[in-house]
Amino acid sequence: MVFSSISFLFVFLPAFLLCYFIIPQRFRGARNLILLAFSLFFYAYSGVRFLLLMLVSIVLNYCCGLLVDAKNSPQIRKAGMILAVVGGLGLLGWFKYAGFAAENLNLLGIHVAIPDIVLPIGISFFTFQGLSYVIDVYRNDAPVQRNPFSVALYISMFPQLVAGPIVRYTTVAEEIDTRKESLSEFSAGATRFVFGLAKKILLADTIAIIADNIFSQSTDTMAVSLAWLGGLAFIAQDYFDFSAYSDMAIGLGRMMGFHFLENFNYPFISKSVTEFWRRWHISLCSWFRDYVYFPLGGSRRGVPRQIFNMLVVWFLTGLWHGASWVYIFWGMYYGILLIGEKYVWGKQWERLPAVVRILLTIGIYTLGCALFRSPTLSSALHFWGAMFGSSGILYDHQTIYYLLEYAPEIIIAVLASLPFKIWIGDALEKKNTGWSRALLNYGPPVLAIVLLFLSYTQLVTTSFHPFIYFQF
Amino acid sequence: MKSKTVSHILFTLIFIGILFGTLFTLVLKPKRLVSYYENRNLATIPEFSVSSLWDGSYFAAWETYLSDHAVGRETLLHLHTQTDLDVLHRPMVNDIIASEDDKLLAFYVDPPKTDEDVAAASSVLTEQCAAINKQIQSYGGTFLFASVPGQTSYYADSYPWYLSDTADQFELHRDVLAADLKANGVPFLDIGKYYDSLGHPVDFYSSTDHHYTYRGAFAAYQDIMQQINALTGDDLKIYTEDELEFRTLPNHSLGSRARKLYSVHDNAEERLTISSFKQPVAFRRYDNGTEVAASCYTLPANDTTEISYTIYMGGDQAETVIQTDRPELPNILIVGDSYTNALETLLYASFNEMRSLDLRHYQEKPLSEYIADYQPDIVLYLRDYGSLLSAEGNGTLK
Repeated sequence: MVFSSISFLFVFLPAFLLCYFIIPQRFRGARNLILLAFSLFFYAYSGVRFLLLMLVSIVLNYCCGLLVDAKNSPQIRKAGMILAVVGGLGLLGWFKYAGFAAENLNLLGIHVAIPDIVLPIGISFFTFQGLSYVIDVYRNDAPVQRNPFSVALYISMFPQLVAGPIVRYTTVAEEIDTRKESLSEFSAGATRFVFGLAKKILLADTIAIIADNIFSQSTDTMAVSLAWLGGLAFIAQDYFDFSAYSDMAIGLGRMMGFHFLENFNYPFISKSVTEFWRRWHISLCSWFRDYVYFPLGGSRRGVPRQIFNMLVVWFLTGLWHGASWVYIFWGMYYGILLIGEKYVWGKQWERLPAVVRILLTIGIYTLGCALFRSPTLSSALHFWGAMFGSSGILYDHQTIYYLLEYAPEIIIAVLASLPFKIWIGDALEKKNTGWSRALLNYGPPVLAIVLLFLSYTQLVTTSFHPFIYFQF
Repeated sequence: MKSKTVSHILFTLIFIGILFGTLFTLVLKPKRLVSYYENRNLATIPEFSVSSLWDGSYFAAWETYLSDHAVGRETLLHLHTQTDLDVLHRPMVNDIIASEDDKLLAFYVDPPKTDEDVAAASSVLTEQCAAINKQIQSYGGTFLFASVPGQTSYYADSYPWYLSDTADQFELHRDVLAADLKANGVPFLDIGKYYDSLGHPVDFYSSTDHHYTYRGAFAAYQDIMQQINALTGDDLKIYTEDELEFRTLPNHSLGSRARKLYSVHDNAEERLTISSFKQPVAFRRYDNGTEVAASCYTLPANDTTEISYTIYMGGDQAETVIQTDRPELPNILIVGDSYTNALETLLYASFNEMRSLDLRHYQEKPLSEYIADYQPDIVLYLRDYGSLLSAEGNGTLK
């Protein structure tokens, strides 16, 4: 099930809100059970077969959590930790990487059958969440959760189940048992949810059409303008799609009293790749930092070791995104850039004007996205070639068409990628007049209602499938 | 009460109200079966099965059902279309381009075929046509491949300057195919040239539909008949305008392009025309083997019913046979899609028997077998420029 669907918005969500809030707040356990039940149904919506995997992951992490809490037995603790890592990553490895591994073994001359495995939705996210729970308990950063339903709830909570953010157990451990829902939190959460919904439906899904159309074309005759438009459209699609899901997850969580951490922080105003990755998919980057980079030694064991650690992190980051050499290269692309910024060209980079650095960072990210979007390394290189004039054509009519056709979305996307909300909010607060306070209080909810209507309209139109000849 | 609290209360009430109001309306409102403008049946409640639950297809089907029956769907689609056209002035809406001179034109998103692809597709079709031509010639018959501009090509100049490549591509396809057919001895007729010789009349093509108008079909009929006479050496009757009574139906016609735009931008003036012979030619008609009313038109019951191009021959039939019981005249077989429909209302009168096949729907036997069975004196294969090199439907002759 996806948030931007009729079934979620007008069947699942009202049903959930009714069942959840009809129970008095003092019955926290009952409310949690309702949330758990709906979360498991949410996941089973894509196929009951996937639910079994989720339940296995929950049981594994619950049991391992108990094991790593064996304070008097370091061996049992270690065994629990190893079991969680091996089991969790083993499941992830099988469902996500077995096919990739088999293909590569075949390329090396080792003939193995390539398994035909359907990738369960969200497996990367809930695997990392489950591991996060066990690791945090192991490190004594959080107390063990003896209630299996609470562990199940943490891992399967529907707001962040399929597309993150990756919520650390420490972030929500207390709130699972002692959160407080309130009207203001519900309202703020619903507003955030609707803004995310609008980002997804009105911006991401529409701009995706540009990217999809351009990336499906041959690069042999692709104009430079079209290639860059495709790249920029994809980064916009990627950002608005992903950040929208985070907004919706954070909004839904807040409606229930949870406070998930932010996952995006206006990455397109970054002045360097380093800054970019502090603003983009923050939960994933911090997960790898805390659970891979720091345990490997971080920056504490000399420059060569730090470079190695960074390369490992970015190799794994690439691999996490998908089972393909393209993703691995994409990860290494950023690993090398980050190392370069840190040790090679950082000082010279800092001397450039801020605007230039921002534009270059966007350009670097666009090139990276062109790599990420391509099905193979070869097609990625061809697309890069098109971006730099391999076809010999500078601009074409298609570029004009897309700019005119999607002008409203492009303009709004550019504005929405900048922190206007913060600038306007700060300005209104400074003014502190009656109308500025009214705008601060009523502006976002009024805009949210308008956006909800527009999003619903757009959602309905995606079901428009006309035929010249009648279809039965 | 603080302003912020008031805003929280109001927003929460409105938000919850929208969610639950939509849910109740979705459940309680009567469900339509058909979408008129989309020309399709709407989804029905999915059937439950354990396997569909297991693999997720059951709930996916529910999503389709809920989307098809969303509250206010038709109204919102109409509103959305109108906003895109009249407020946002998008060049393309629902795959239709509303040109500055009020033509509704098709938008093509497929990338152009490469020269190699064009040559390969032309070669395949030429081979098929040459084989059919040889088969027909073996019993003394005549094959004619006629191509007619689609609305896209006819109104190529109406496209915005940045979207004008498609007509050029279609003409390239035509030229490559024409050369290949000629090289293989297959007669080819480009009706577009005839239209040009008549001054490219504006009223030959619809501004709201992808077909030619009845006037355009009549001109195509005359050109085809002239070519048939030239190829066969016959002197088959070619009806002139004076021998026909044209009647323009007062009903509003919903063109295929206008349908996609919910009639928002619709040439309300455009009407469909039919004709009757001043000296009628009696005939029997069979559709798919069953005798039906001897009429070439499916006319509306009154002047207010909205009509469409299906008034010509009742739309696309797998097989239509019209027999005029005049054995002194040759028999003709027409193969093609809806471009043949308006033409057939005229052609039958010049032949003893007219058979018409639409290979998208006719599956009983291959075309070569059909020709072998009936041995029509003339086989006319009609394609519009845009479909010339498509292997789908009527694009494969076997």
